Amino acid sequence: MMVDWDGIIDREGPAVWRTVCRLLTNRADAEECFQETFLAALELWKRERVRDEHAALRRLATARAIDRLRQRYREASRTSPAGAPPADPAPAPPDRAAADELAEHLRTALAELPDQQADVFCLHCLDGLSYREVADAIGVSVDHVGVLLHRARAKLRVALADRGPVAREVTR
Amino acid sequence: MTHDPRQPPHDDSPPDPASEQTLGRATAALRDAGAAQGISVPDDLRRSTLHALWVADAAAHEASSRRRSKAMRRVLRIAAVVAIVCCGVVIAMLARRARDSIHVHDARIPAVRGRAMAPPVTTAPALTAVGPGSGIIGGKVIAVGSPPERELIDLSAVAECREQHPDGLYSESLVVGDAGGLANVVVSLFWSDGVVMDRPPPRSPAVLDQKGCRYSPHVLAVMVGQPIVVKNSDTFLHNVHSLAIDNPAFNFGQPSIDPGRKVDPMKTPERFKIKCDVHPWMVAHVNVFEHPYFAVTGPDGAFALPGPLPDGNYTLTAWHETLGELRTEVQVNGGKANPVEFRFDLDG
Repeated sequence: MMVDWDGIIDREGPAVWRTVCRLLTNRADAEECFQETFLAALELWKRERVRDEHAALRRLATARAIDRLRQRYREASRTSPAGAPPADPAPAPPDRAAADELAEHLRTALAELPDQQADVFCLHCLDGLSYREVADAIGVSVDHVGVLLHRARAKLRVALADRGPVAREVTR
Repeated sequence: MTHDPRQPPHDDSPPDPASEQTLGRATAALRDAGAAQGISVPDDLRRSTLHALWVADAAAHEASSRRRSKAMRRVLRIAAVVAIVCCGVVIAMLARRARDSIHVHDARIPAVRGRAMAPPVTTAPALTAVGPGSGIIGGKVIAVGSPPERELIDLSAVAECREQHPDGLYSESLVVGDAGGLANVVVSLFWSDGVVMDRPPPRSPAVLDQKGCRYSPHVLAVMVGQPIVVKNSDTFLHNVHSLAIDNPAFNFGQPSIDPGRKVDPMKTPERFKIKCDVHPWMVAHVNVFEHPYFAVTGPDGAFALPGPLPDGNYTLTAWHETLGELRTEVQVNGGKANPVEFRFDLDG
């Protein structure tokens, strides 16, 4: 069966692009992750009948972006004492600097979460998928999605509280 | 008790409002971060992704085609082997059929010791017409000439057999009755003119008994698929050893009286011997037919094939273990068949 990838990229490409861009600050990484997501989708479409292409692509994009995020943090921790991944050289506007730093802290914390917890948090809290959609996308029950999300949020709260003063400052 | 801030709180403990708010702000910040890169996929990224998908899909199709092609070659190889085997089986069957035909043809001329007389006489006024109007073929098998004295079997070494035959045990290979009737001749239809001869086998078993150190009957005729039972009426050991080639062979002992042991039904027409390895003179001849139109003559040489048979021309054969085989033509007309007489020449 031929799959209309042109149409799928038209429909789902922007959402996938947003997902990878919000998790990966490096543009080259985001582009590579975008392509990897659709190549993985090609294999998935061959293997099984995909009922919800929107949720499936978000899940593939999130999982690959989290992987790439972890890889970048590992590389950065080896080369730089600060442990921050290389970001695009484009400077952020001054009024977004604090929010960007807070987002960066959350990225760092997400990279330290277990796979399923990170996936569930991103799919529900960032991409806006319902519990049911998340459960179908990662192949667990709705109740288990709730448990995974609860644990993820608990760990992220601790991680953010333990992070730098910027987060506290913005919070204040 | 102090709480380690690096560890997540217990599931039941309510989250700290400040940290919850921080998480909410961070989540919102990260959610909005994607928008900074734009909401549409860059054209060059879209094109390169489609190209990568096309290349990956084409490679997968090529691999799939290679697999299909390999599987097809394997199937063709198997089909070729099967075809060769089938051809071999067909050739073997044809060769066997031709060989059987040659055997029958050879037996028609006095193949066994050259003593059968040809051509056979097909009418005999002295005989009573068999089944007029019934279409049953019957008649008599006669031995012409001076019958040799029957061979006396030496039982001196086997006390249990000797005791059963105080007057001696004689060979059954050539038994001629008072009026010249020849016993133990198998008479059967060899060929019918358009009459279908296949019938289901009888359910009643053909019984071969071992009684008094000999097989009874000495000549057994059965139909393919007919049940066969081997008995032992003697109180001592006999061994039943089938020498069949085309049919299921068997070889077993019956140490004492045995009311009957079933053996596998025969599968194809064949003529073969059964012998006892303990008592070497004990021999039985088994004739297997695909149709029910056969009979074995008794001491008077008379026979009657089961019928009735529809009108038509038939070829009849008579086989004797030492005198060979004779054939004759028989016509059933208006439900009547003239009695048939086979004459085996003992002096020829």
